[in-house]
Amino acid sequence: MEQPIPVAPLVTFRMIFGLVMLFSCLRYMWMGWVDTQLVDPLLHFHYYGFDWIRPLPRAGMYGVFTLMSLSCLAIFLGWYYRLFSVVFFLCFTYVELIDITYYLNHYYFVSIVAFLMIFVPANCYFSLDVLRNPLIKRTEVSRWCIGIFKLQIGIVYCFAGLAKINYDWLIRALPLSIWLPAKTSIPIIGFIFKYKFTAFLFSWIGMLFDTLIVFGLLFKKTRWLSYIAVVIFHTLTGILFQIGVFPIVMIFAVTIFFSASFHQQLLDKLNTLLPNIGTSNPLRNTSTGSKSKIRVAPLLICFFAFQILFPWRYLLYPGNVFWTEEGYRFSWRVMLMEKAGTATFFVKDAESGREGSVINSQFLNQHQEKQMAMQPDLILQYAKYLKDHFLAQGMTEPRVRAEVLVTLNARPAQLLIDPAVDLSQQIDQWQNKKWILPLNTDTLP
Amino acid sequence: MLKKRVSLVSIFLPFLVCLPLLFISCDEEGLEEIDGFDRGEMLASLADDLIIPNFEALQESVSKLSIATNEFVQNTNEENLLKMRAAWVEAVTNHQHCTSFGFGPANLSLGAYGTVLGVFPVDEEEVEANILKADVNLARSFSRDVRGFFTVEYLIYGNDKTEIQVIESFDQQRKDYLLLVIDELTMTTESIVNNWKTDYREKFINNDGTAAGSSVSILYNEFVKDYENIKNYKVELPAGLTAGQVSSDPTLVEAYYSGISKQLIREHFSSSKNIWMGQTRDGQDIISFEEYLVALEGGPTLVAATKAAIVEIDNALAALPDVKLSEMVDSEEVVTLRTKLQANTANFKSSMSSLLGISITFNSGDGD
Repeated sequence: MEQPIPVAPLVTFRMIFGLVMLFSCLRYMWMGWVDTQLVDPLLHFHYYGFDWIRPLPRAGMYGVFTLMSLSCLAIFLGWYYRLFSVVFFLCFTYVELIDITYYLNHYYFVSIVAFLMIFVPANCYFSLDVLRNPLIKRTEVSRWCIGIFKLQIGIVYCFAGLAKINYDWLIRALPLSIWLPAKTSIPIIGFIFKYKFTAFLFSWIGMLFDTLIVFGLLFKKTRWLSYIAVVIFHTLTGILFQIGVFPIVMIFAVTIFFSASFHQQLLDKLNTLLPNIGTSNPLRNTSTGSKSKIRVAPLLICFFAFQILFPWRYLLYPGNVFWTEEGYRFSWRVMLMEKAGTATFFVKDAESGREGSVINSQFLNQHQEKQMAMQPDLILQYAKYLKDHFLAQGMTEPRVRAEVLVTLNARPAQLLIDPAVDLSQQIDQWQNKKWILPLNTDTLP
Repeated sequence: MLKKRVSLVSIFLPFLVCLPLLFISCDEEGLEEIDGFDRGEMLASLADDLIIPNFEALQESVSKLSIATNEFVQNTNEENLLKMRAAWVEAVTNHQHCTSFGFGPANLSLGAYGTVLGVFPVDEEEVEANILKADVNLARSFSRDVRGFFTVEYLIYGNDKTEIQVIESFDQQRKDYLLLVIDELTMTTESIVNNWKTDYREKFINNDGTAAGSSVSILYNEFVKDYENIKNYKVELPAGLTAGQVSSDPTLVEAYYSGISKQLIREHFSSSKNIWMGQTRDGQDIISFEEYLVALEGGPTLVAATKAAIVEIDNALAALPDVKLSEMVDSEEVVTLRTKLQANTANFKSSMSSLLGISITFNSGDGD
């Protein structure tokens, strides 16, 4: 683990990460999402244990995004790298934690990578930091510094693949038989999506790709072929589905599997375009010395143990994880189901006995409503919010219940939760939520 | 290393063996098209047979209303008042068949067509204040409740006034304001029809994907919002069935002054039905969501459920007592209507978009 290996792959990884994240930040602001997703909403759905996270006022949020963009640039250039890798991790994770309805696996992935970046000396070569202080320059780092990123990427793909081994995905080709036929208007390849066969083919290939690709990338013989597969796979999903920058993130992230000589050539070529930044400096300090010892070993061991164990927590809950979503998030379940719900909330004034329904659009934006209406923990959060809202309005004892009809992978809609239960009395906790009704699997589409 | 690779292969061997089997097993039906449905054709059908004709009918009746209003302004008498009211009823009836289409040319600067020119209740005080102002410019005002069909209604019916009282109330300033509101209706509907007939029709039909921002997605979004408006604003609010209300409020019904609320709700629902089932206002069959759904996985079941729910709503609408809606907001029948409307919401809102694979918002849920 502490054996020295060339630093080049880590350095290109740092630069690519900085650039892609910079693009991602600017795109987020450009799309107006700072306002529509973070500033405008009346309420935000919080992550369990993070209800103390609040968005800043508009100017503050733009400030955070500006700082985040600057830290991306600093990471790319390797300028005060340690400081800005911490700043980026904190900014990004803060924004991510503001509202859980925007949860995306790739945001989680970015947070994790940003966290790991803090602990590696990715600025020790081809960076402005080396220009500032040539003493930190190294051409080699300990093996673990690159290995942790490979391991993390491997975890993402493998879990994504394992999650696809289920009845709906493999045997019924769902949800792809819903999603693909809606894409027939795509130029050139569009026609293939109207055949049932295509959905089956894509489902199986998708499962095999995710589960196996990391092994293909590990070995020299299969590496280029695997990378071509990565590019095709992610480009295709990028064209087919509205998944933002995720395909770009993955296509670039997996280049860390390439050989050191490949990355060194890349950096050398880049170097010819630039004034001297430190690759041509003959003063090579190849000793890794005691400085690069894994002082953070206990931390990393805990971290990866968590990464490998946490996705399995769904096994501790009864019922279908797609339906209850207990243990669904943070497990690399990516593009795995077509699920949608309509949630109607009823607030009853226990004192007068009068019950009225809630107009969700008066409190939530369209995206929040859509996400809330199929996820029990968010339904509970919203119910709590409504309770507080109507208490503040002067209702003495509001009771909140909800009729939530959810369709999963083309099954007819069924009740997700007990429509009689008073949600304002329930507590969000790790334990199984007993008011979730079981999925009736007899009703296959 | 080699050993490791072998063991991996052995894990996935069963899958690799299954793969060709799968191809064989679905060979017959596999090459069948799951979606033989042509979205472009549906969009063309909706544009040419439903959306444009509905807006044309609206424009025509609004221009009739404008003529009748001008006559009334010149000869302010009871006969002309009644003519003007009849023209208003026709126009506001046609309006119900357009509120679902508040996108494209009908996405006005203040919002979707129906949420700007179909706003109720009217702010009577602000309308009266506007009347007294010398130079009111509606185009520069952000208030929605001082314009549109129901402001016209307030002016020509009055709040609890006899016809004579209404006529007597029309001094020149009141007439001017009425003409101003009517002018906005005329100009807006004209521009919507012109836009649809010139360049928007092509744009609409050619944008035939299902991503957020595609015609199907935009149309679907507005259709669902407009359907939910029936229940939320036309039934629940006046009936006091919205959370936090302590009693019903008859003045919150649509078309409170003329008392044709019930009739308008029926028209509104029939418009929603027409869009979903694919039917013109004179009953001619066209291609729409129902046909689209039938072609999809799980679609026939949803179509059957939706049709059943629609029958229930029709029955609930037919069962409303023969009095004004404002006089029966506390009745059981209104509660039943609300329940039936709600029972169908999931069909229209989540189940349908889920099967159609339509992206409703730009954020993707389980997204990446």
